[in-house]
Amino acid sequence: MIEHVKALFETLAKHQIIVSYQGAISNEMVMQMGEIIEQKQSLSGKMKRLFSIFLELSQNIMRYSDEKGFVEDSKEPTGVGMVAVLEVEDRYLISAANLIAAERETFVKDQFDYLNTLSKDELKALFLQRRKEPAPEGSKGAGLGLIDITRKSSEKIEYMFWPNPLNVSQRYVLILASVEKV
Amino acid sequence: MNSLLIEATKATPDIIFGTDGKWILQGKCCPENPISFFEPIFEWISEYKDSENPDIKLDMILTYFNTSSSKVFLDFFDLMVEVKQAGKEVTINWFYEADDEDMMESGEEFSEDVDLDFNLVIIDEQD
Repeated sequence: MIEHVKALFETLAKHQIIVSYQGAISNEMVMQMGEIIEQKQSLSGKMKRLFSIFLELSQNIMRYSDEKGFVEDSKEPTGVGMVAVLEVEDRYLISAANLIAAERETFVKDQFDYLNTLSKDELKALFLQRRKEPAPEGSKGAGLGLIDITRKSSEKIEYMFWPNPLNVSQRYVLILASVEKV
Repeated sequence: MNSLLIEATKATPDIIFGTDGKWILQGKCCPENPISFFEPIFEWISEYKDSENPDIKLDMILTYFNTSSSKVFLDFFDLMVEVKQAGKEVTINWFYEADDEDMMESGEEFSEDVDLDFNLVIIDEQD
């Protein structure tokens, strides 16, 4: 068994991990991880985008993950997923993965593809327009999170889908955003 | 009526809304459900609107807010427009740190979306 754990730790040691978590996510935990991010960086100006993207990705998991679980102090189930903030040479990577219903894959993919075609000005216009409209059906937040993430990311959003080997009606979705250090 | 005082949490700001018209909203605003956080605040403001209390100067000193709070801020400002229409002057001071362009831009965006006196104020770190 110790070899099993060593393999995990070796993988972790290869990366500069600022925060990494897997499991049911509560808002309290998001804010605590946010504090770690803040302490690690002197978050000023543009670097505050790191915190904002992390926050929106985490709250997306809480609301939309197809897998639910309980955290200690909550009576309501909350979303299960994985989040990580990594440091690479010239930038930070902010990433999140969770399960979605397989039939939602096309919808989610279309959203990413559409947002990735927009310029920063177009994203701003879309954000302001959507903010004035009633929240879309099925949206538990404001439906604005993904626009904001795309707006604040230094590069276009990358994503991947893959099957859940344990449940054919579910797929994993992985989202990757980045913030340049400059 | 009494002043409205709500202590900050890790995810919600300090609310110090005085019956003297000096209002401060300060901290982070990233609750999971901002609508329920703002509900009692909206109720209090409606009462203030119909009271004899003076004009309002609101300082908004935020470090972060999530997108769902951003949407509720619009409702909040709409309510402040109602307060203005009821005869009270409303001045919003939106604070941002000198290097925080995003926070400045957020202030600009709100000022364009709502019909209120909106001042963008740089936080002087020597204070």
